[in-house]
Amino acid sequence: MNSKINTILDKSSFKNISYFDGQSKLSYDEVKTCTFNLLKNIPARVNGVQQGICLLMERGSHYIATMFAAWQAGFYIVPLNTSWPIQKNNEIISKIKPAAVISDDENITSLANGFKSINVINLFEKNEGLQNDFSLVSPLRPADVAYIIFTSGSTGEPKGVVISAASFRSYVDWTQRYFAEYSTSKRLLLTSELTFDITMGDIAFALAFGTSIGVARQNTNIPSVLALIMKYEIDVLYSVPTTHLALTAFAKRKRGADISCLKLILSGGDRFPWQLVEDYKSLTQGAHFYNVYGPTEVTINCFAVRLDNKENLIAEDKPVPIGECFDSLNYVLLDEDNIASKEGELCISGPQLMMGYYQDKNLTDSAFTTDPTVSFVQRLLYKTGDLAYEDDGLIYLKGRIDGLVKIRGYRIHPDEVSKAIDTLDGVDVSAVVTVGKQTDAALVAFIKLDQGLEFTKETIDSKLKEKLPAYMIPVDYVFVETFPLNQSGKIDKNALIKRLL
Amino acid sequence: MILLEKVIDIVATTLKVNKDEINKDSGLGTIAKWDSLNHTNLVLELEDAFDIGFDFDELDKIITVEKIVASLEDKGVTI
Repeated sequence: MNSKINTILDKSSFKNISYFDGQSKLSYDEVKTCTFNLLKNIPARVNGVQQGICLLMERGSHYIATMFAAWQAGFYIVPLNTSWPIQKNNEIISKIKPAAVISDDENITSLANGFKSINVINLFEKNEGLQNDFSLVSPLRPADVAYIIFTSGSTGEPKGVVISAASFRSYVDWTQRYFAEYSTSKRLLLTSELTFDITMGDIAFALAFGTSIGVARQNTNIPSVLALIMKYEIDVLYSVPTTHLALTAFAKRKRGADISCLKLILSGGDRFPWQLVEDYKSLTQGAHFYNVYGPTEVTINCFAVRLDNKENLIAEDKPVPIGECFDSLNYVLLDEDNIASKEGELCISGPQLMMGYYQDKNLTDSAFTTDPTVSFVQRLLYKTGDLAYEDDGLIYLKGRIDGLVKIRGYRIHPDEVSKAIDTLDGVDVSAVVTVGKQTDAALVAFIKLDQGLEFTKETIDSKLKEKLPAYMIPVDYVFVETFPLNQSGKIDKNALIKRLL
Repeated sequence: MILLEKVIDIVATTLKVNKDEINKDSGLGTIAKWDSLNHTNLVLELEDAFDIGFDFDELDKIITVEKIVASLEDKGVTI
């Protein structure tokens, strides 16, 4: 293999990674077999054009090992999800027209006709006749596509975020620099959806340090996630806040539970209650806790901050920062007049920007702007859609730009209101939605209280009045036991609004 | 009351759903309310109710009413 042009897998640590899920364990040997079996079945390039493969199989070590094999063979990958409706998976496959769909016994029959499918079992079959000749392998080049992740668009149509090998490599390199003190980490555990880019963040960590990758087969079964952490002495865990919350709640109450093996904990994908940092402190022996932030369009993450050592930042009544921009990227906060400011839409430039949305030039064009702070060339900025402000060198999020509402003339961000509610004693977590339009617009808060507590509207009202101006106080509160979550594990506000109709 | 009924009782109470929405095939992800957080609570509720501790290596198995009952029977739980 020509390691000089291999953009992702040329780190020697790649060959040290093993893959486990409680049922099967794979190593580089199997990845190699899979690489050659892939190339025996399908070409990675046709007339010089890179081909893609879609992955539609159950969670497990084979899924991740196949990803690595595909990259080693030169393909780009499109992860799909067996928990999505069959129709959604087939729609994406029809769009991508992959060289093949890699599937398994359970899912291969659900595939629409007309596309080549390969059963993953066959890819890992050792074959004496296989030409194990790496000179035949053309690995990913910097300009190639590494992966395409489909996320839900605001129109309901899934949009495919196309990430280049060079962008992904830039993220791996940042990981290697930023988390250098954790380079001896042994095992991480994938708890996010494999179609969510937190998984790519985990893979980048493994590539940076040769950390082995565990896959929680039942990622929504938190007790089983805890069992895996204990069994395999997982030391790195990167999850969404909801998973962290359920895990710490369970670990606190389950007899014999011990997650002190965790050394590095990352939370991303959504804001989290500040108590999480304290909870992990009490359950681990000084594990380090980082908050990370980034849209899929900027290759996983672009801001990070360690929080467990910043006691002045972690307090009940303070917002949690997303931290500092990666050393490899730049950011600008653009105000309404498109002027760089201390508060405004968070916009990012640098090598991690997506190539664009799959087959959607208009959407791609609208996602970018040019950097007004650079006058001599058109430097591209990705507009995150997040409203942010700077305080003492750290960046904090206020909410989504498109979530801004005008109520009785005041510009209000519902997320700002829910952040204030979250800081009230007795409130576990909340979400605020807007109902009605224009002059009828009003805020309604959904609140999950700490176990066993009951509040009235009046109690919340009076407590909130100490924190928010009257125009930001919701007109009504709905107390809930659980929140509906979307595919990314975030609170599904659209589902909440539907409950009110 | 047989063990199955008692388990269905605890599931319904924990998930705050009607008893007739639960049968032996119900499990994590089969009904909206049986989500990851409620499942976590359910495991703890069952341990308290029957004064038992599930082994860590069976936590990936006890994900349906039927499997929960089987595990409790293995532990000699009777009503």
